[in-house]
Amino acid sequence: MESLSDRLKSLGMHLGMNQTNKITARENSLSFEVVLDLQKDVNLYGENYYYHEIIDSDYQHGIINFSDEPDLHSLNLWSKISDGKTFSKESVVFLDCETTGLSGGTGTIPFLIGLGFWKDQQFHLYQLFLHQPNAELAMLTFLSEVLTPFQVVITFNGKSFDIPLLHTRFVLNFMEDVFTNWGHVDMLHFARRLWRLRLSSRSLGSIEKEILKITRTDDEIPGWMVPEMYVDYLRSGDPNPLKGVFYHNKMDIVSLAALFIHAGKIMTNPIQWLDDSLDVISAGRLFEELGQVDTSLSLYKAAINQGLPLPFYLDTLKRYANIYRKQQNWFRAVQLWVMAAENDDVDSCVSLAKYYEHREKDYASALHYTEMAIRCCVDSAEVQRLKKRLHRLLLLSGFAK
Amino acid sequence: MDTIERLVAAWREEPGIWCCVEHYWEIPARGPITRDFPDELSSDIRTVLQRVGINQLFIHQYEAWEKIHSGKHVIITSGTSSGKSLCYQLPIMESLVTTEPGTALCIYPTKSLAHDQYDQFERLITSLSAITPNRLSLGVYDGDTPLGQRTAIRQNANVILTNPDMLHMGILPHHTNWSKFFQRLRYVVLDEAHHYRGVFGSHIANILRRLKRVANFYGGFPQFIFTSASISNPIEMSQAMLEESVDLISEDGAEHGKRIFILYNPPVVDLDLGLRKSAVSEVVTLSKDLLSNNIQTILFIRSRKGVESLIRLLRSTLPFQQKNIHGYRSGYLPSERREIEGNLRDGTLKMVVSTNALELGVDIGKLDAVLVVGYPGSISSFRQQSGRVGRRNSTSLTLMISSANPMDQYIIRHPEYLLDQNPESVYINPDNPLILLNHIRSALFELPFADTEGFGHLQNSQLGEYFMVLSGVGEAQQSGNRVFWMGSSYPADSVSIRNAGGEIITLQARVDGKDKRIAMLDKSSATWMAHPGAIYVHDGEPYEVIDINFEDNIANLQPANGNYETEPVIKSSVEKISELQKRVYPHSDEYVGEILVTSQVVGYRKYQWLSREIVGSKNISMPETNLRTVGYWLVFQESVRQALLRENLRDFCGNNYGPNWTKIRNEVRKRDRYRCQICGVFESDMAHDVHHKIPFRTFTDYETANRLDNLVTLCASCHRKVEQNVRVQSGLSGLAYIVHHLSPVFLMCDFGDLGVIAEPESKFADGDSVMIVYDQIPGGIGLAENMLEKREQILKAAFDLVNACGCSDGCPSCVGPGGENGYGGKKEVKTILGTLIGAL
Repeated sequence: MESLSDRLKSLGMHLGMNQTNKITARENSLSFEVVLDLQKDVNLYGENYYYHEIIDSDYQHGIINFSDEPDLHSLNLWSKISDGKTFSKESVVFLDCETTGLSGGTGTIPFLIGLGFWKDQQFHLYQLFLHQPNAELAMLTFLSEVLTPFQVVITFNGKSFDIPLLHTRFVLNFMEDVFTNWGHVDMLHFARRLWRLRLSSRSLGSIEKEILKITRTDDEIPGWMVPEMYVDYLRSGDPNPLKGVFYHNKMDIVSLAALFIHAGKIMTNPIQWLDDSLDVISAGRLFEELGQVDTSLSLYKAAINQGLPLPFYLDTLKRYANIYRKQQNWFRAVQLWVMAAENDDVDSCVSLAKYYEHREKDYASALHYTEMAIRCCVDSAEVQRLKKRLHRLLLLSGFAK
Repeated sequence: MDTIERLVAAWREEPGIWCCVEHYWEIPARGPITRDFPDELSSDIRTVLQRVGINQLFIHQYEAWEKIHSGKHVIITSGTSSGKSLCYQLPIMESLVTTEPGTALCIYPTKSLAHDQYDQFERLITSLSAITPNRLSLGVYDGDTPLGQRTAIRQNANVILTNPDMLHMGILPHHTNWSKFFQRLRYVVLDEAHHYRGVFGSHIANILRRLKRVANFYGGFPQFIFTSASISNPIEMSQAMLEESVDLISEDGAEHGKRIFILYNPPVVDLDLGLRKSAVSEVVTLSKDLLSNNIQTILFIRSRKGVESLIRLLRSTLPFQQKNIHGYRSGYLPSERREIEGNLRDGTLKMVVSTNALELGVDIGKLDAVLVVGYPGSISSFRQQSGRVGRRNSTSLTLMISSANPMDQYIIRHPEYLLDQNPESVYINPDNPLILLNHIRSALFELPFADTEGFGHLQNSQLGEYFMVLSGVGEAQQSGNRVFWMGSSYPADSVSIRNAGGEIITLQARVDGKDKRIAMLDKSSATWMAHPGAIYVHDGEPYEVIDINFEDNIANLQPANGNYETEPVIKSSVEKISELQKRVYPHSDEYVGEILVTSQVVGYRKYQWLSREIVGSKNISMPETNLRTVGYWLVFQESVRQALLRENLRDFCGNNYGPNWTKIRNEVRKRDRYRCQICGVFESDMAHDVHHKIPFRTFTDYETANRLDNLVTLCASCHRKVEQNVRVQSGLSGLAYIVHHLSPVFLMCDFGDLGVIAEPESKFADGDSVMIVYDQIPGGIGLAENMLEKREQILKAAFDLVNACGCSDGCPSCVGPGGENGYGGKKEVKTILGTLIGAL
């Protein structure tokens, strides 16, 4: 009789994927626990396998030493985690999942859950491995157990991926979601704010390379290959290729922890830890949003002194001036606007014109800056508005004379 | 006297009009049949109903309440605007005022219908919220719901209004976000369920399997409420969809005024060719009368393009009424539609020209008259359209103007179809392997399958081979006693629930410098709908296909001027794969089985849009496509051929081939050296015949017919054979034409859902003649099986239609205009059909 798959094909179904790529189980291969160097935990729901490694207290990861003890006060403030959950280096857990797919939804399974935390100065890495799809309840139960001491989780893109995904897994297994009411710091959001001007990609990979100065070894396999490696393992029973996935996950956790330390340092003493002026103005904006105006001002100043490409220079001058404007420190604000106006910045010309018209009633100066604005302006609608202003000022200055 | 009655009386006096009225009937006015509120109905709900002026229930609403209250799944088929919505709104509202309020999921076939129903339901819920302590909320959750609102709706709404696409793509694969909703799920409503037929219905049945599976997972066991237009198999359809027993409520207690029905056949202008005056020109005359009598009218026309051209025509011929005439179809902006609906409700708009978009339960109030231009393709559609009129206290009019299509001509001769309670059936085939496989993938993505678990009525053992296919491509994995989804994709993405499956071609057009996605077609349809040069109409806008690329699955289009449309010329061949059923009749053997249809588009013709005149043709070569499907085929027994032969002998001589025929005949015999050009025999005592290769009757003048290159010398016996073959050929093609056009009436499908091939001396039937009717959907959705069941009715209907048609030798209204494959073939079709049904 005709097989279903032949029948489907002749009906026009495109079955896709590597059906021809038959993977045959290797005989006499070592068991996965041995190959992957896993330990076993047994609970009510079955067996669990996990990898555990203790990383030396003075381990050096790129530019970061794991023994560094940054002041986390400012990072705490930025994270806006609800009160009562202030975190320290030893009270957070780092988390990153490797999954069977990237689409999310109920059919995406985390098969490797990487965890990291400091305990007595040492960094502990735990990687919980779903050795078979049916073992999820046992794994999640073990996960809840390992997480008992913690209240704050640090992830990279966990707000939209890892944590909702684990929520789905808990619901599917009729378990309480352990992360409910936890604090959650998503370092992707931090990276986006701090490096968006300089780095074209804010992925963990490029942060590692550009900021932490780390190169992964040849064991690394790219993230997009991860899903199929697990499926291949389930089909073939050969755990060897999974070593790369474990390495990938381990590096994600360790780099995440390093980024966390680095972020703590940056937030405590940004000028010391940021050497690119673009990063400095990003930090300036971040502190401005946090309401720490003084820090922000010193960062803008430092960046201007360091030198910036023109558009960023103008933007920073204006932000800088705007802070003084709010403080009614007109002397400073005018100084900065003039610096920008000298570089043909229309906005600053307009700010100066407004200032001279309304504050100083100095219509001649106001006229001067309006004319300057009209000269520099390329937007025709804006030119029209400026001409109206010019007209009004001409009338006003006429009366004044 | 009522305005409508006065107008109809005036038409009666007008011979030019009344002679075209083939049928006239009335349904007398009727009062409401009501019941008091059921005792169990809680006082809060009574209050809400009384506030909107409802003090009693119609009998069908009462019955629905009782059945639903006793825990049954139900289907309600009462008429249009009979208050069907209240049938499900009542139990839903009741479940909201209990101490543990339930949730409900209402599924509408389109987004716009969901929004329309939201407005109505929302008024009741708001009014109920005011008097009950429970926090109640209603939400539309579809592709247009802003992302920012989705979480709130998921968490708070007691009643969700959505469409099947969203359920399939957005809700079920993310059911953990809906866990609370599913835990408390009491009711699932499928409104306008008659839309879920064919492929769409087969997908819906599978989505319901998945929905039940997910709800059960959370401990929810919802009750299902279907509403539907009247169809002949509501129980069968809803049970096929739900795979549980469903109770029917078909009574209709709503009141209505007197209703007049008129079937109008445009007059014949050329008796011989069977040409009728066009329906559109008659519409203009009748519309003028309706408008000048201030009768609010809706005109239904089949195509979106038809809407636009009819409006143009009406506005140009009725200049004083321009503002009173408006169009309505999909493709109009939602705001524009809302405005039209409002203007219809408050009576400020007098005439609206619409596609079946207004058939769906959109609230436009009741109108005075409906003009159905061309039979809408199904009886339930006709009923839905005519249900748009009928005020409580005044007379209403439904007037159908038929086109020349055989389907229309059949209906106009058999008004009992429209009158009697026997509308079409709805068929679905949830187990079509292509459709099923995709839903098994989605179901597996949603929850792993336990090794005892089935899917709908399918046992776990029947699923095994599907899981094997999926494991083979790395998408499924057995672990312990469960099968898990292991794919890295999102399976719901790869299914279009309004298509069968397989590869999808995207049609994109360059509009204002940007590529705009217009439509998606499955590959096999794309080859004949989107070949280079084809005119593809979307939302009333014609586009010309520039090229189609089967590697990227993209066709590029550009806006076209819309003066003409195209029709592909398709060369098909059929192979038999298996025979599933066989029935033997006195003059035929008939089968249902799997077949492989290989088709190739070899060219296309350009038609003038209104006149249907051919304005050009072009040869092209598209790749062959294979359609594996289920077909019905009819193998003619020798007796049919004999009957044709007898007919042939009777009819053989006596043609007048023109004044100088004898001379021409002699010339040809001389040219052919007095030899038969088939068997080579020389003339002896009797002169050979001279045969017209292209039959004489298909020419309008004898000079062209008698051109030497159309003539050939044949001996009497070969000539008979050839003539006979020509006759069989024309008989078969005429038969294919009429069967193709008429079957959709009986199978409740679209013309395009069926393919028909008829061949004499076919390899398919080991040299016998055969007619094959097949399902255009890969794998089939039950049309062929149904064809075998209904063959008697269909063949009989075809026979009646051919017999009753006044044309001399074939016309668009019966066996098709002759000329292409031989004679018109009318006589031959009559002989074939008469023999098959035993009428000769």
